[in-house]
Amino acid sequence: MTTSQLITCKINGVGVEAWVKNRSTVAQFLREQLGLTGTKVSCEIQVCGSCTVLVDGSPISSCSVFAYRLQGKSVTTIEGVAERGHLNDVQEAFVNNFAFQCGFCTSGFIMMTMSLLGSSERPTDEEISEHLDGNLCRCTGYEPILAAAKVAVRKRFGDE
Amino acid sequence: MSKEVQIRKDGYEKVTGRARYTGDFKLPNMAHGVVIRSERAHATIDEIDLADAKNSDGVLAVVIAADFGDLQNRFGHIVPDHFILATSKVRYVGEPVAVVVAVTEEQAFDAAQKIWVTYGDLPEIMTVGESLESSTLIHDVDYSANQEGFLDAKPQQKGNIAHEIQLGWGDVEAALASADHVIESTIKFPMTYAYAMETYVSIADYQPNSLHLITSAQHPTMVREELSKIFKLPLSAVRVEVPYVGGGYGSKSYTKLEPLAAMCSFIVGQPVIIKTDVEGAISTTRANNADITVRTGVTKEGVIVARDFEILMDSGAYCDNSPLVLTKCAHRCFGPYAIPNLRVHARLLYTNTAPGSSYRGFGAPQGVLAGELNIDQIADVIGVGSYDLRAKNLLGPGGRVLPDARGLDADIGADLRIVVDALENARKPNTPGFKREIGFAISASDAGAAPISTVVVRMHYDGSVTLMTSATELGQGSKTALAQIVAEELDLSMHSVAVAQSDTLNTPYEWTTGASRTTTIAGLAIQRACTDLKEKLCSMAESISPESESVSFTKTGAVKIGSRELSPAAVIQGWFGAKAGEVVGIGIVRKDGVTKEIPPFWEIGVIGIEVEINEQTGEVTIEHLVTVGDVGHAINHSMVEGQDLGAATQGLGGALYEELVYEGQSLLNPNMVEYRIPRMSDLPRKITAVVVEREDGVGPYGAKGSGEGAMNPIAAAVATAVARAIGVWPSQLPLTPERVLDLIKSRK
Amino acid sequence: MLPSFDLRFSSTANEACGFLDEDWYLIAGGTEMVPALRIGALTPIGLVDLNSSAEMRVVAKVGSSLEIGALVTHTEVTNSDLVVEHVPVMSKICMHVGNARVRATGTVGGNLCFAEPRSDLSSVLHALGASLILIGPDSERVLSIPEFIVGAFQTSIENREVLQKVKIPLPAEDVNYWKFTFGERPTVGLAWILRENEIHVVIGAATEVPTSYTFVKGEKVDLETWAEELEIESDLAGSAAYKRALIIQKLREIGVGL
Repeated sequence: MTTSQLITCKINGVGVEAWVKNRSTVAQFLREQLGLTGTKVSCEIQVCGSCTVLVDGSPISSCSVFAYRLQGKSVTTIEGVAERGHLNDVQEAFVNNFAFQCGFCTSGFIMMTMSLLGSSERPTDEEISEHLDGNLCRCTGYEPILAAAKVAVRKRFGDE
Repeated sequence: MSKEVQIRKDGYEKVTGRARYTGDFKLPNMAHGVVIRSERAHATIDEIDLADAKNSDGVLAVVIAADFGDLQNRFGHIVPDHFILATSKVRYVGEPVAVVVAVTEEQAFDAAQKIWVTYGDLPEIMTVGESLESSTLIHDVDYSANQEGFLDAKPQQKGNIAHEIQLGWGDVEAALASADHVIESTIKFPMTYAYAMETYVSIADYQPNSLHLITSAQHPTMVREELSKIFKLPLSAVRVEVPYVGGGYGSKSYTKLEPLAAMCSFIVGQPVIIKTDVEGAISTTRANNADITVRTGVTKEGVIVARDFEILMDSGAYCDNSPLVLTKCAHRCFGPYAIPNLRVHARLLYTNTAPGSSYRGFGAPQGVLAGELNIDQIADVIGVGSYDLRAKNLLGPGGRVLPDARGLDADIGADLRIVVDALENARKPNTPGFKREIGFAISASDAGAAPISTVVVRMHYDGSVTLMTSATELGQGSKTALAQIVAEELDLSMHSVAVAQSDTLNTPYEWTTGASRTTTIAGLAIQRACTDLKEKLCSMAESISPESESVSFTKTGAVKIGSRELSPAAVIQGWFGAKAGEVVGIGIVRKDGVTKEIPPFWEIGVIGIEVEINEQTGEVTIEHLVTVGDVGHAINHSMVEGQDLGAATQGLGGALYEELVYEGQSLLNPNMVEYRIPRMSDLPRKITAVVVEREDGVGPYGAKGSGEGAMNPIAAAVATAVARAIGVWPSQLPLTPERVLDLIKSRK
Repeated sequence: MLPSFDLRFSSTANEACGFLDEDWYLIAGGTEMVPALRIGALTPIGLVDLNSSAEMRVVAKVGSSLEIGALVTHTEVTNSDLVVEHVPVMSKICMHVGNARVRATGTVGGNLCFAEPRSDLSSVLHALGASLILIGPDSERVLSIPEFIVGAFQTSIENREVLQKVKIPLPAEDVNYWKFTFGERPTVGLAWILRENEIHVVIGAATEVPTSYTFVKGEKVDLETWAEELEIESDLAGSAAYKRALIIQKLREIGVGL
């Protein structure tokens, strides 16, 4: 009978070894065990995206994936985005475009945008909105978030 | 004020994950509370079996109402009907019955599975109709006796009627009898859920004669008041600290989880955190649904002679803020028109559903839906254009919406002209299988709540400043807007203005953060604090000046003594005789002077919509959304636009997608898969956001409030557009594809 | 908060069979399992985690079939060159399941075994004539979609059986797919194949199980009466009548009953 697993993984580039309860989610591991509270928990049913983190570059709903699955994987959370406190292009775009209000969905949207930029092909406008359609925001009405994502895409891939 | 784009002060924190919300805090030795909730809508609690739970690993206590001793078990800022934990009976599915407090959240959760409650079923009352008819009482105690009420709401309870309002003037029956046309509309506004993405969460730390809350709340001083009453503590002993809030929208007004968390901490003698999931949040409060019937009498030219409203609003099992929502619905339903004869009869009914509470718009979305839809139906019947009909009856600036209230501080006619022009200039033709049509609606809300605010502006000895205010940052941008006013008044850069917010131990009294009031009311207080600060600096300069010369504060932020100019830093350091000290400016707003008249300002809403209807599926797409932010003066233009788009989007939810559905005793859709809110793919294809600045408000530089205006008329605008496209007037929102298809079919 | 459970790891279907004691379930991506645990719909003693299985995570052309391992994610199906080449409709529908996170985590096997009626995969695989390979402790079974999915959230999987892969016969027929979605999940799904003399249709999402019908081209059909026979429930997304109306419209559009 096991109740916990010993996992070794990378969190924002740093090696971590930890015991995680079988029932612990990635969100709980990050927030409660590691103190990385930038990832938020909201709907707990995979639709809002506020808990989005990247695992080996792919976006997951950290509220609904067990922490033991991180064995051998590399995780990027919102805390790992800025370089020594300097905002990256996505974060800058969100600030300059007022792409947040209460901020609770913001970490998730930034991580989703990062996962979009991870591919080598430039996403079309339609692909950008389809990708981000998987996250909810209750404050902004989405328009500035889409605008910020498009700015970030332009920065990464150049003007069309 | 400078027209340069001013980015938000909370931007860096929020895009790096460093912004802290209540659930991100961990107090030393903090225990976890998991709430056990009722599974019945209306039942006696016959037995609670706690033994197994109490013996579970890590459990510190299993708290039930009987454990409160002689402490008050009820709270409620208008009607104190709200049980902290159910005592003899439960009144809705989801009502808190017990709390397991344990060392870890897992332990609390596991123990909670071992609690068995035996209920004795009572007849359940699930709709306002049933509530009116039923002889079963949901509350058999009349809490309204000796109630002073709250603002405009002075409830009188009668059976299941939690509150009732009759307002009006003239002789409505006579006017209707002699009108050329009387048009009646009946419409149901759905039960919705605010879905603040940060669900309710509170941390309480009770120590002898001191109580500290860290909580996701909009009004720290209101929560402090409630807790001080319950625990019989002086206000100074109750600290309510509110960090960043992940969405409020009115749903976190006043007091929610705090008494329960505080009781748990009181009983176990450690800090306790209680979180909710989405289902738990809906079980805490949801927004008020309403059934409204309106009759309007007009002359054949379309001049209004009378309006008559019958409002039935659902309060859920406990009142919370609903009596005030009812009152405001009554004030806001008939619109800013010249109405010689008016009758509004509004009733708030208890039902065995989740407690209803305030939500953005505060009764206006419900009332305006009925009032404005009716106006468009009149236009249809008498053959006058929608715009012309409104123009004939609209009150102009200074007009009296309510007889004893402040005159209208807005030119709604001009705002409406902007919207209609924008809509008509961008109209698109129908395409095969798709019908397009426009609709627009207006609203005027007596907003601002109470004009009571105190702020402190502390200038440090280097001339930089810290603003201290109990206004909360919910996402609306109060931190930034209020700092901008300080920067403007003292000619400082935003980098030199820090903001301390929403901690009753440290920040001075603010009535509430809601009713779109912060920029206007706290803004006025800030201007006064800055004036006070400048006067003090001048007087300090005078006292350290060798000769008596004239002293003044310049527009460029300096202190002018005779012909010399000194920086404020130099004045402070000179006065204290060292690089030390500070000067404090205090600003106070109360119901006098420019804020003597109520409301402090009218919040205007004017919305234009072009819909595209898929005639095969009934799906409604928004082709064009036009919003007008008639805000007097925009402290931060981008933030005002953000409020308008955000409010419009939330309003689109109630118009097209959102509805909490009860089946039998419980909700069918208490989760975000089955409760559908607007998503990015629902974005209008074209958005025209206009900000109008006529400097007609009493707030700083002529400002008025922003934040709810766009939500209030949007359901009416959408419903009108759909009705015009189809030729059938709806009687129920949201206009889901099936309901629209049914409307289309009913025409044939 | 999720309940506690025991955990075993397996990397092959055969091995997993042995681990499946009573009240033990398989877990792949978990996109259906975790929500089910959260609401207490399933209360396992333990989970057998298959995610380390390289062999079940392969897309391969084997003989005249395209084989998709049960652990292949929706994103992997979408991006697979083999899928795009041989069964492009699978790439298209997998691209629109849920959201990008669900697609990156959720698997084909998990999708089919959970048998949520409001889904797209089973309808399309039905139309493609796909077969499912089930590995038991001493047996191997091959089932078609209608043989496998027998009710809402009900499959004919037996005790200790593991779905190992999906086989799509090649060359694949040209399957089209349309769905109507109001909320998060599809309300009505329709897969169809335009053959020389007939239109083959699979209706799903609205029905408890995906069900196929074949209409003769050019033959008049009273679709309203026909649709009454469909077993459709009313729910929050729409009444049974509404869903029937959507289906009838789409059928007419693709040429059925005219």
